[in-house]
Amino acid sequence: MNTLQTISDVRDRRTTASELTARAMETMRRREPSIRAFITIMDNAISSAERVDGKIARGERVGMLAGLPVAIKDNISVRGVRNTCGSKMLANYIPPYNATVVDRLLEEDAVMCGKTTMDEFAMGSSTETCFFGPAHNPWDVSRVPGGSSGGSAAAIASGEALAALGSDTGGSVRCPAAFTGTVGLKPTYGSVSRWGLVSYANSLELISPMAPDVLGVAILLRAISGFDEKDATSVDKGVPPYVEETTKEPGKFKVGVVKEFFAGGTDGRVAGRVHGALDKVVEMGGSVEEVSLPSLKYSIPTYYLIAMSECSSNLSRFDGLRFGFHLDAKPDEGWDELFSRTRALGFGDEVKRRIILGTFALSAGYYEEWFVKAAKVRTIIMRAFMRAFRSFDILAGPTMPCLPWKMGEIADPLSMYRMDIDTAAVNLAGVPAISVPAGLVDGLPVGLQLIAKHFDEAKLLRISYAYERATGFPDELPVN
Amino acid sequence: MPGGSKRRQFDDSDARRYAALSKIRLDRDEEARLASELVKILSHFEQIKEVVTEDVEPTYSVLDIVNRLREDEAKGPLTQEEAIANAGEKKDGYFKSPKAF
Repeated sequence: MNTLQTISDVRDRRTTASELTARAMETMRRREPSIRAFITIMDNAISSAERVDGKIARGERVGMLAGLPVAIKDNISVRGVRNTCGSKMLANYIPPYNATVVDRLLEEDAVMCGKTTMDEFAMGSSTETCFFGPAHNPWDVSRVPGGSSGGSAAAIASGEALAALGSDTGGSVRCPAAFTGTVGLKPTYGSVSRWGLVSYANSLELISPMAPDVLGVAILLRAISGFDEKDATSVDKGVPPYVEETTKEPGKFKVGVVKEFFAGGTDGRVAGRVHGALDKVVEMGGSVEEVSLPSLKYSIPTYYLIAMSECSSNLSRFDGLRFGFHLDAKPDEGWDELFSRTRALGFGDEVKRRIILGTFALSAGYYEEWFVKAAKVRTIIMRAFMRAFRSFDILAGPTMPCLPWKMGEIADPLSMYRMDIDTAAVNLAGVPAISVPAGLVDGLPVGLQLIAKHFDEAKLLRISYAYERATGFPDELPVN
Repeated sequence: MPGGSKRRQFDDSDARRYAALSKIRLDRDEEARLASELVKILSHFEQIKEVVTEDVEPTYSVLDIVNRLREDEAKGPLTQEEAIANAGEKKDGYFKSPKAF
């Protein structure tokens, strides 16, 4: 059953929001001990669902997400529910306000069921840097679910939620979608409000929808997109009717298969599966041609230099005084000492590494050499995408260069950074991209990544949906 | 200094310096470990220096909107109580900080 059918079943009283939510909560009780998709389970989910059922019973108008149990990544603020960002630094932080996207979910009668496991401050590709412990991949619990929005993806793949919000800074929604056989879409920068998202790398990241199927992502995107005066980078542009757009026939379209996405480090089995998926795209009426964007070979250093620089500035707010992890000052301890001690104990290793490297890249004497240089290479990468979109409707390749790895298998930071090789450039350019299931290799999911030009989510969704109908992959989730 | 292959490598004292600027206290072992990790990471990042970027403008935001302002009207701010609710130490409705001087 697709997400839209689920919602219309609630509206037409074939089922109830309470029933869907109770089922999700029951699945959580059963599966959380081995999946650990959630940091906080929202016990008020059932009463929220009952409120939606009440509206339906009274014949009142209900929103487009009526009764849908949605999981929220733990860096998106929900008033009154702790928002940890997977960090000791915010283990007890309770936001006094809702993120704009959360207000929009509530206006559309979604049922929020919990806050999901993530890499600390969204810095990672596996959820292994989470202070509260990692989430596990429902396809094989000895493996990672991808990251940083791994909890959101694992919740969907295990049936603990029917949709989720994540955030995507360099692939953090597309990577876990690929690793769990679910769908995740990183929208055009500026199209979804970041108000209430805890900033990590503000010029790159965006709150992003995740679901078991393309229509689920389309309806969530419709609900959360749109102008927000509280976010200075929000774009004042109408929101297309994404669900209607998604179900239109894609017609003829040209796909550019990006050569650099199949470079040396790519697992041959993953590449083979993605080529198989592209054969399906040809059957659907797409024409497929190889295209080379040579500057993509610089995406990892460019992305990380910018992300780390922005992070060193954004995370300077964590001083342990106004909110978050707090230490009492020792006698005669000044601001600097207390601040430095608090941050030493409150942040994990990866977060410290990125803040310190970012501080270095922004410091006098190195700013031009590293940060500004990366910002210039970013321009070149962005132009390469724009040029490619003059010849192609969408670009394609694997979402991840490998299969989900075993917990603890990648210990070296640089090896972990390299896992973002196919996803990070999208954030540098600010273009939208989606990961859809491309089938299995040795019982583990592989993701196909499709990329479109700025504000062309409708085309991305239309082609993805046609592809999904041609393959039927969402029925394969390990939800039991 | 750090980075360039002809210059000396990022070492423990650099790790100490940038950790201090980041307001993160490290012990000696952490300094040494961080320095060796950052040497590896920076030597990988070094490859962007081969890209010709003369006459290329840097991109700090992919959007072309600048400084959009709203009307200066008060809009339901947090109450003082809400604003300090998460503070570890407070006094008389204010955040309490260590001495700054």
